[in-house]
Amino acid sequence: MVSILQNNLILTLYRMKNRTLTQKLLLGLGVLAAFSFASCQKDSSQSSVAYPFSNSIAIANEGAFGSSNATLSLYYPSGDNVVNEVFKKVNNRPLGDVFQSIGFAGDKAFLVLNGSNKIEIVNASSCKEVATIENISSPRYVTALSSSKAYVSLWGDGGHVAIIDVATNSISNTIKVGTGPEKMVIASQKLFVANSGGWGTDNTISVVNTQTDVVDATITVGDNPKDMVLDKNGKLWVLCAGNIVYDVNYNVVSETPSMLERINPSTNQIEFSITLGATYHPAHLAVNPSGDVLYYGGDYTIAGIFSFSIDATTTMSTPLINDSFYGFSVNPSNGEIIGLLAPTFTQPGTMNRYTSDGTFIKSYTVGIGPNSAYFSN
Amino acid sequence: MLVEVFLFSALSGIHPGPPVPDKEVVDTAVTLKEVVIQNRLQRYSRELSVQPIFTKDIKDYAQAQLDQLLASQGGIVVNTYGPGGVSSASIRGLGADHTAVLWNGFNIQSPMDGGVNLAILPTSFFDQVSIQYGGNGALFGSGALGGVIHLESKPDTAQGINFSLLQTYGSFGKWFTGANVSAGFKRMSSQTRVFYTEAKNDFLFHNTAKIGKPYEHQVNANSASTGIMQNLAYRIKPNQSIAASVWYQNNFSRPQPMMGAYTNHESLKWTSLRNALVWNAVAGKFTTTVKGGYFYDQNIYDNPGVEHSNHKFYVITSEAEGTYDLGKVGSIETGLIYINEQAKSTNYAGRPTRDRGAGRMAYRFNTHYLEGFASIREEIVSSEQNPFTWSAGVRVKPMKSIALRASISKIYRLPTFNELFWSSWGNPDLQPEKGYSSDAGLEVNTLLNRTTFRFVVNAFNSHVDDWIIWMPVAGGKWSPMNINKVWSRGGEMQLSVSHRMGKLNVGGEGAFSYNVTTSNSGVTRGNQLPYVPKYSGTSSLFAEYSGFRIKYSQHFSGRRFINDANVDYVDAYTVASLMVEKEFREHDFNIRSFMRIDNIWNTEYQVMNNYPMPLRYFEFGIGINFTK
Repeated sequence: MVSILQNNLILTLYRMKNRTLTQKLLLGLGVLAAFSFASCQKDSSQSSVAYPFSNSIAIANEGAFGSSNATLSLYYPSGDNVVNEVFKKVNNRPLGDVFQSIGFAGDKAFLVLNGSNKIEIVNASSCKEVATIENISSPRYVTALSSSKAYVSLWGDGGHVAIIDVATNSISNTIKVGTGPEKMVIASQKLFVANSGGWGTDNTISVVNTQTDVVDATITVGDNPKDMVLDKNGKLWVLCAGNIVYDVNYNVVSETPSMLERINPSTNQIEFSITLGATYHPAHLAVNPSGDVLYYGGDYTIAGIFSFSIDATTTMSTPLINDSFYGFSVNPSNGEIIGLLAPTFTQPGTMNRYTSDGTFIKSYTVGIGPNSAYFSN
Repeated sequence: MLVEVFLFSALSGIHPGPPVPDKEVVDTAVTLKEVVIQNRLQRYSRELSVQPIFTKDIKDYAQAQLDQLLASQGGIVVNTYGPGGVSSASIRGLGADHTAVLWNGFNIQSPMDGGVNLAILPTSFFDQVSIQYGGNGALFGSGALGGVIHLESKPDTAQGINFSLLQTYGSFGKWFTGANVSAGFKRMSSQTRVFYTEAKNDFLFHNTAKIGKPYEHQVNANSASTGIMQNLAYRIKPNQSIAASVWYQNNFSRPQPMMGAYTNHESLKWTSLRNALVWNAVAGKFTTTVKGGYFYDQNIYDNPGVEHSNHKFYVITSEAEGTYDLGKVGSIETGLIYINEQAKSTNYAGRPTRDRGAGRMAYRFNTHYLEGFASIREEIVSSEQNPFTWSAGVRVKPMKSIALRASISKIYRLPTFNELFWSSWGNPDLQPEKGYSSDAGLEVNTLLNRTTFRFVVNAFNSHVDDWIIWMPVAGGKWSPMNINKVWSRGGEMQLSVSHRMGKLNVGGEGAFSYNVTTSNSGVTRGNQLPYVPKYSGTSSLFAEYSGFRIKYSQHFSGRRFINDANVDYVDAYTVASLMVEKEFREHDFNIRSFMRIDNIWNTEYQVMNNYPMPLRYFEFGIGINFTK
């Protein structure tokens, strides 16, 4: 159809009597117009490439808020190579807006897109799209109870946890929890939900009975609990970032200190508590493979990753790694620290590998705004 | 005759075409009701690279907004978020805030963000639209870095009564109604323009970000806009006149959501009032112009549950200009400008104000083969920043049909209110962006037998220093800083040809631009700026026969990177449109009916990443013009 009209125009011009320089030029213009069609439509067929999550480190790159340029990077230690934009390469479409986190349940990976209010569910062995859970309000993290049931924390509507039916890729129920539910940990058949305060403030952990999916207890902790891990003794450690109050000009009016607290998941009792800093507000907590050393630090412009032995009673005054990480994780198979740098949200970020004592190993380019690393097995 | 009108109506006053003596062009211009006293653009356009948009093209887009008219032209990049969304222009690779938009000589860029939303300026309100490639700080002030869009709404000085009505209907529930009444009586003339347009914009698009990549109907992109412009001109004495303009407009739109992001329900309300008064007097060799303007603009953004913000700005501008005619050898002119800018916004504390005073001088010289100008400008901003700027241009005509020209200018942009005053994040210590722009070109204009031929080629080179970008700073904040440098270079080429054979008139146009605009510092040094295509162009063919007219146009844009890293990009695209119209005269009535098909080949494309553009769409219209 394209060429018919083009040809007709050109043909008409050819048929003109007494072709002059002008007419030749007109012909030239017609050809120019026709030529510009050449780069027209693009093939949108499905790609046949596949990237497994197994034996990889998966990086959630947030992208810039509102830009729908979030990406997934997979680092394969065996080949020491990073594959960027994995979701797009496999599924030939963008992942979405603000890639918050990754969860695994059964043979599926749950890619949580906070800015898109959706979870993209992909096959964990290939990253091929399976389904999308849409219209959920500000999803944050996914934690699996089993291969058929998982939980997703949602900031929207005052704070909920939704139950994902892994088989049907759908939400089966929701549970009202505190404000800004963030990380979740399952211990003693309970789901512990850190109510981080979201856009406001909170200081509680909701304890959900995983049999009845009812909130059985609420534990009061320090301000804005954001991250949690289990140590070698099965104790739950909670990182409370502290709360900052700004005035209309974003000047700090008041702030409460960050804290590290240890909870006995069987009794829901706080057994230990320590202040980390009055003006220091880290957001991430990780544990080494043997479960006896914790690492805290990270968030936007928050300097340093500090280590903390689970038996310690004082904090270290100097960081183990002195850089401003947007997020970090610890590799459960070898204890390497994966530090993620997001200097701006317009340029690709960086993944740095460090040994467990903080010695730098190597740096890799990942996507825009890397915030956390995940290990599927 | 049609050929001459076609050519000269577009070139009058701006491009005295060398195929005929300048005098003849001026006469033609007068018969086409052009202004007698030239504005600044007209006085300097011969040395600058100015592309006047054909009046026929302006008429073709009378039912559309200005962004669509500009997007149909080569050499200018219009970045649009699609139906219902905001549109801005980029010339020679620089940003929206580096493209000055002048209406009757007044800069209508927002002092808050430096932008003008071209998606809400009705084309039917302008009689002349010209694109100036390359900035010129000394002549056109702050913001004229990449180029200038000149809009002219003129009081109709013809005697008698003219009434015109345009009614169109198009795909996606688009309606446009526009009317124009003008009356001229001896010393006074009045012109009233009104329009109303609305669109559902429920267009079908390919949701390439969603699983299964379904085709969906857009649900959140409707818009409605209405406006009135009143122009009055009064000839006080044969050598003295005064003209007043009032332009009020109200717009509502829902910007379509980005694919892949949450389907939100954002809305934008814009209200603007623009008032201008111009007094002109000629006394012997002196021409004096005094003008004043008051511009008010309000923009309310709403995103339910997320953000509700309200922004207003007020600009008072006054200018006095005197020109002394040195006869055949040239002229001298001088001008004083005072601008007061104020803004009130939910993003600002208090009500920031900025006073700007500027003085400028220029000297023009003419010889038989050579003409040129030199110009200087000093601006004092709130008694602090004082960019001194200068410019010079020259034009040589070695042959009747050939002209060579070159110009160089300092260019600058004052920081916007957002950059200076955004609550706690703004940086009051920002310096103006500054640099220089140089440009050289060749023009060939011929009128041989029944063929008009026009060819223009330009090369340019610009540097901007202290380029402002927002950077993350401590405490999770972002703040603007003068840290980047940008280097823009490239060229443009335009070719238009038309030929008359009896009642048949055929022709074509082609425009192509090549643009390398790179960051010149930091880790992104050497990378192309986002959304600046290296290659873009348009081409069109038309034929006219006894009131029938058919025009086929094709627009091409090369791929555009979506951020500084130059990794991800929006695909290159080409879209085409076809317009068929019939015009006939019945007594005092001139009736024009038309049909146009846009995106005729159903191309799936995006201008801004993840914002789909509509597939093929149609528009029908009828216009009636009555003259007595």
